[in-house]
Amino acid sequence: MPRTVWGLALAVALICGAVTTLLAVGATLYVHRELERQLDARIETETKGLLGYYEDHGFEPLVQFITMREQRVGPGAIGYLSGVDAANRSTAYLLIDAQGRRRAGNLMAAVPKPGWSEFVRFRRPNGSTGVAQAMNSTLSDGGQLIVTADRAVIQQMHWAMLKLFGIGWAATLLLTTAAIIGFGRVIRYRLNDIETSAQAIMAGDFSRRMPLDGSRGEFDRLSLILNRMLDRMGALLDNLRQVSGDIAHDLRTPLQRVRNRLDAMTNAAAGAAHEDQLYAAIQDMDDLLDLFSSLLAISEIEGQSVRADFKPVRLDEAVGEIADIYRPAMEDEGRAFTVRTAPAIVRGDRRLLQNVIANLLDNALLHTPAGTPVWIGLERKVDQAILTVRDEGPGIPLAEHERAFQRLTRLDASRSAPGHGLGLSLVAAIVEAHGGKVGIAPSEPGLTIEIALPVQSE
Amino acid sequence: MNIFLLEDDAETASYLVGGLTELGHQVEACEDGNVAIAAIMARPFDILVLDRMVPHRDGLSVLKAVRAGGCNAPALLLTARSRIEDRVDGLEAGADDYLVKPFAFAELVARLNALARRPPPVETVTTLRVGAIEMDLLRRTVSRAGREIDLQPREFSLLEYLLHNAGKVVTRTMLLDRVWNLGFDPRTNIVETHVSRLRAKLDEGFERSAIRTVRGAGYMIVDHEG
Repeated sequence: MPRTVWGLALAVALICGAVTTLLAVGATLYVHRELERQLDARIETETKGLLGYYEDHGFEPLVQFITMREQRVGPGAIGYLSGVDAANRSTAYLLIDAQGRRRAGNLMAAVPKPGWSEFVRFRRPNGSTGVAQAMNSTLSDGGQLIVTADRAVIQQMHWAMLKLFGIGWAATLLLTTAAIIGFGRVIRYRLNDIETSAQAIMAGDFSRRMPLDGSRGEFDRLSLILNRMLDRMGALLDNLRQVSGDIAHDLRTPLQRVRNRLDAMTNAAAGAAHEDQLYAAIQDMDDLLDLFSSLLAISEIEGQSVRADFKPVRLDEAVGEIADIYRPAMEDEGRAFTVRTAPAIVRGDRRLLQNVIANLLDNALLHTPAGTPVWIGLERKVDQAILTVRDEGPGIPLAEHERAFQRLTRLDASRSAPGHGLGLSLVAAIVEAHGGKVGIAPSEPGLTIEIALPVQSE
Repeated sequence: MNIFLLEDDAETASYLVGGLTELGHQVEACEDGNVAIAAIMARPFDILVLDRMVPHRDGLSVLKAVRAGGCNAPALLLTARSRIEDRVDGLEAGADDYLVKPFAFAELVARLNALARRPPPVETVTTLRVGAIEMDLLRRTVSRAGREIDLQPREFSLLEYLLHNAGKVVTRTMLLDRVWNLGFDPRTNIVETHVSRLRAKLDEGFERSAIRTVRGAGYMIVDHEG
């Protein structure tokens, strides 16, 4: 397969030429054979007629008959002198008696051998030489009757064919060349457009897109898909920018606090106050390290390499264990804590799935007032396990539902609570790595996080 | 304790050597994987602390090599990575514990202590006793000074772990990992809640708390009576 436009064009031109040539050769051969057969048929008919005449009347009358036939001009006349019908004029005769004398006929040529002869050279009455098809029949008295047909028609046909296909060939060549040039122009023109845009994007103009001409042609389709890719990359880039900005912002506060504490220690005398500052600084550092490990964990999970270790997990048992671990904390805060699970096996990482549940329970503990009831439910719906964690706290306003799962999002209502705004994004990353979906289900009052995970097929 | 340390960052190494020496341990430090293998095979150590990322050979392959060479001292791997596969790899290579950098020095010490005197599970221990606290592992009962204490299964395993490591600091992450088998750190004070519940049950009617909170490190069960 040719891989360049020029290669393709050349291949097309060669194929067109070959087809034309093949057609020409085929047509010529066919017509050639037909014409030859016609010549032969005419010679045969003529010979048969003359021989019949000879059988009926004898040699001398045949001499007269042939002479008369050749001299006759006008309708019904045959031979070179008739001057009426071009096809008829091509037939010539020669009658030789038993003694070898030429008695009748205009054929100016050496006597061909008895039977069929092809390519017998002869001289036409106008002096030009030609080649003829000839049949030499021996008469019963030893004389010879030669009937010939001029092959000029065949040669004329060859010339006509050559001319016709010459024109055809030239036309094909012209058309393909024009098509190739036009084709190349269009492609080069569109590629140049795309290249220009790509260069501009590389140079930093990220809002630039590939040009579309609305033709819905191949290049428009290419541009469209490239533009969609650029849009997606742009969104990711924006997200990255946003996240790095947010990280920088989130780091500033705790780092400033650490700095303040260390600063204070350089002035203060050693003692209990000193120690308090130290522990507080360590706590701040741990907080920062937590932020980093959470970010790393999210990147790792989003990288999907965790999938390699996936095994069947009894989700109901995993939920039960986490619920048991969290029950004392729930009870201490006077919350009603309800857990309802149905058996479900999913393919995944047990610790990651437990992390999801723990995170959602952490959120309930951190963002709803003490005494607010919390529910966990796990049910099976066809081929999905639906995990819901619900509380009757203040909930998340509808407008912020989408933002809630983004990294480092601290919704206004929770700005005072501890955390980095990574909990729900970690949940989302883990659920997505498991091929599931997470969302906020409508609930009033409170908040319901709903997670759908594909169950392991038995 | 006689500790071998493989760590290529000079500052970290000297910090660890200084801290461990101060606690009364002998530390031999080394910063090259190939040298480490020879050193470990040359004389017995009580414990190996191996950084995963060092020149020439990483800690993991050093560990594999010395394990193949017959060394069965407990080993703790240090790593900057926290990927799940890394953890699995480490344990498969023969590591007894795994610590992700950066870590608190107290965390390292707690884990080394837990590793060093981990009782070999040859003889079956059926009772654990620290001071007046007595735990019967077969009957699943606990008493303090003869008074029976009713514990939930999770409280029981928490106390069991503390008793196993009596006199040693047990950190929050050790508890999360060993008692609850959680590979992550919850954002809420789950550990504190469990410890304070256990403490309340153990201390009811007693003047002094059986579980001591070690600031910045973790918890320790103490023997007041002994």
